[in-house]
Amino acid sequence: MRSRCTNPTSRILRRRRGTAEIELLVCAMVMISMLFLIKSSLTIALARVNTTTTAGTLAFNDAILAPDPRFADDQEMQPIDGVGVVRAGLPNRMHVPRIVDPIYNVATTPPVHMMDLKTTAAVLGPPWLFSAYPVPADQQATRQWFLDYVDESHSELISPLLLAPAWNP
Amino acid sequence: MSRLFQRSILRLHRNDSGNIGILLLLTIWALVAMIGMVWNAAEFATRKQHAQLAVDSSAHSAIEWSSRTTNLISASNMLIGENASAESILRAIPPTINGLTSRLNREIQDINRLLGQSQQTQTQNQNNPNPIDPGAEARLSLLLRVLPQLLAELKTEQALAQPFILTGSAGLSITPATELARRRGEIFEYQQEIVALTPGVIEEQRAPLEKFYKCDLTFANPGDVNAVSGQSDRFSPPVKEVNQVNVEGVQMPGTAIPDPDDGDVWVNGGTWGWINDPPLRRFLVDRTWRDQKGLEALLKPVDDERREFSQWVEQLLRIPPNAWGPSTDPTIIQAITNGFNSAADQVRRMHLVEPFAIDLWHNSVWSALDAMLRELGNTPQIAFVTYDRYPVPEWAKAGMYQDAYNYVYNDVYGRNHNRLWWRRYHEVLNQLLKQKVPQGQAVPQARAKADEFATRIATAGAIIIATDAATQWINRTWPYEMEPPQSPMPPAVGPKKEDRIQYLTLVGAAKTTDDTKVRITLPRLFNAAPDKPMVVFAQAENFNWMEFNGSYGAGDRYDRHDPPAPWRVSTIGGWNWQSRLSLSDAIGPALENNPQLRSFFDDAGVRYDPEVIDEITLH
Repeated sequence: MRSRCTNPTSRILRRRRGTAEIELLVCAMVMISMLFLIKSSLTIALARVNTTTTAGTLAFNDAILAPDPRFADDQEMQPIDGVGVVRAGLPNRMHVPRIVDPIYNVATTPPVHMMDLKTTAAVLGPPWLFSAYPVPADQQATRQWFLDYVDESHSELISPLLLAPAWNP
Repeated sequence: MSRLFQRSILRLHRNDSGNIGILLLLTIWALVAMIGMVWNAAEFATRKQHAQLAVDSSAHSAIEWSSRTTNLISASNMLIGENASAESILRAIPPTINGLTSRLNREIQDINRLLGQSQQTQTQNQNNPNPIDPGAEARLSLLLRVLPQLLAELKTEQALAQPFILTGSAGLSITPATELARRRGEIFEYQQEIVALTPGVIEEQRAPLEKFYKCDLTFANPGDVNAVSGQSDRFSPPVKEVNQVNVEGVQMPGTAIPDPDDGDVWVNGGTWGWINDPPLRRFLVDRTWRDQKGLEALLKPVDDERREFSQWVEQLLRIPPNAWGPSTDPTIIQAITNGFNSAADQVRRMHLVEPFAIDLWHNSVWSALDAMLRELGNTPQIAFVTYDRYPVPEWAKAGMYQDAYNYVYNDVYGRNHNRLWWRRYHEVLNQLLKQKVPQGQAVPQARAKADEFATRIATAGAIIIATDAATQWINRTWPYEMEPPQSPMPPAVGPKKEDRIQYLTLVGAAKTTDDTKVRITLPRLFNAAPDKPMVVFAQAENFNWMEFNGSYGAGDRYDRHDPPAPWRVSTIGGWNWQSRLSLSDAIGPALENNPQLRSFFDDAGVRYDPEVIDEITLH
């Protein structure tokens, strides 16, 4: 009777016993790495979208609502003079928040790898309202602009003719 | 054969070697695909977000220049108003000084003449040996007592008027009216310049924003059908140049009312509702009212002095307690009383104590203002883009008719009743006196007949004239800053949708470039390598937050005889234009009218189909 052990194929199989476990271990490590990569991708993806949105929100808020603009006078993105060149003196700002959003590589614990997501936006303001809302300091410039123009129009008559003050118009 | 095949199948079934490797490959492939999917989704979202941010902020910033220019037009229109108001004040000074001095001089002359006559009579009486009529003597004594004091009072008033005369005269020598008009012309040139510059400024700003966002940008005005095709620099601020804007009034020369006694009696009509320079009128009238108060204050002492003196004069004109003794004959008392009363009436008829200076000033100012408005209305100026003559909306006609009717009726009745009353009074009184009716009976009869006649004729005439005038009123055009709303609603409605889209809206589009295009990971795997750029659009518009603030003009009613006065580019309320992003309801007309905008969409593979675009924007 021939023993099964004498079968060459069985001998090979016996020698390979345990390979599957090793493959499983490798597979698990690879898959865990892949999952971390997916998680990192998701984190970075969300951060990219959020950073862009945040830049826009900050730029619009600064130009429209902020009583004390924080992102004006950007050196690289200066507003053009536009129609203000004819009679200068009114506030003219390009509101440019430059967002640097640090994103940690979550594949490692504790997070040691970091990447910066940079984004920016640019919104022109203010619209040169009479009230100068929302920046109270702008009204001084608006008022001075108007009074300078009054000087060229009829200011020499205001005091002698006891006219109403030129501001509030 | 079949057995061999079965054995092979069984061996394959039992042999599980290499399965994990296959599974691992498949899993890794799926996970890599998942990473790619996550990355690509984020890439699309980020690029889209970036392009959207580019077009949002660019469109907002572009329309900001339009808001800025509109605000500067409002500010400079108000400056023109201040300048014109100063000129109105300047023009009102000479007639006021003339009126003031001539009236006080005339009163002094009248008093001097009367005083001279009285003194002459007194001298004659002193030389007259015959007894003097006690009434005449009483009259004389009162005049000689009161007139010197009135003379002194008028001298005081002359002194009180000096500050106004000196201040006004000094003001006249500073700047001639022609110089003020020239400066207004310069302000108008400034307005023309900034309006003309604005489209180019929007274009000029587009270039750095393109560089900043690394996207191509284009802007279109949805309503600009006449612009040069394909040009994106054609968004103008919502203003326009107008000229000859004075509005003629409603005229009714008068009407004849049949009367059984007089035949046809003519009732005078007139002209009502003319409006000089509607675009600048609101601010200029308000400003002039405030400007005139300074010089008005200088005239107040004159009127106050006359008002105060009037009480004192009345005391002087009373019969003195010692005018007659206890045993004086009643006929003499009556004569003395009549003499005093006659003198008092004579003094009162001179109107020496009526305040007049401020009224004179106001009349001069309003005349000068009216002339100024007429003059301004005949010269070019900048008004809101929709300013025009429009018919009265149907829903407002009834209210406007009634208001115009009342306005004309009261005016016609008031002016004619007085005239007719005196005319009939004199006719009837003379007739009765000729018939020897005692005056005591004739006067009341004449008054009663005059009342009845004047009321009847003036009422009938006023009804006819007011009816005709009010009918004309509602069936002609009037100046409105915007076409009136076609349905009843509160006054604050703001611009209608068509005007908003045509004149206040800008549509922008951004197209990704090589620097900002979507970069697909594993393009073969996803079979989605984009060969077309991504295009996004945004809509921005000018708006004025005072549209719904009743105190800035939006509260004016359409159903009154005067139409709402323009305010949107000539008052503080109009100096509040801002930009905002809005709902994209103008993309259809913008694509229709702007080939460059269409080309952006074509590049992205979006064919312009009005129905599809309407459907999309509807939702």
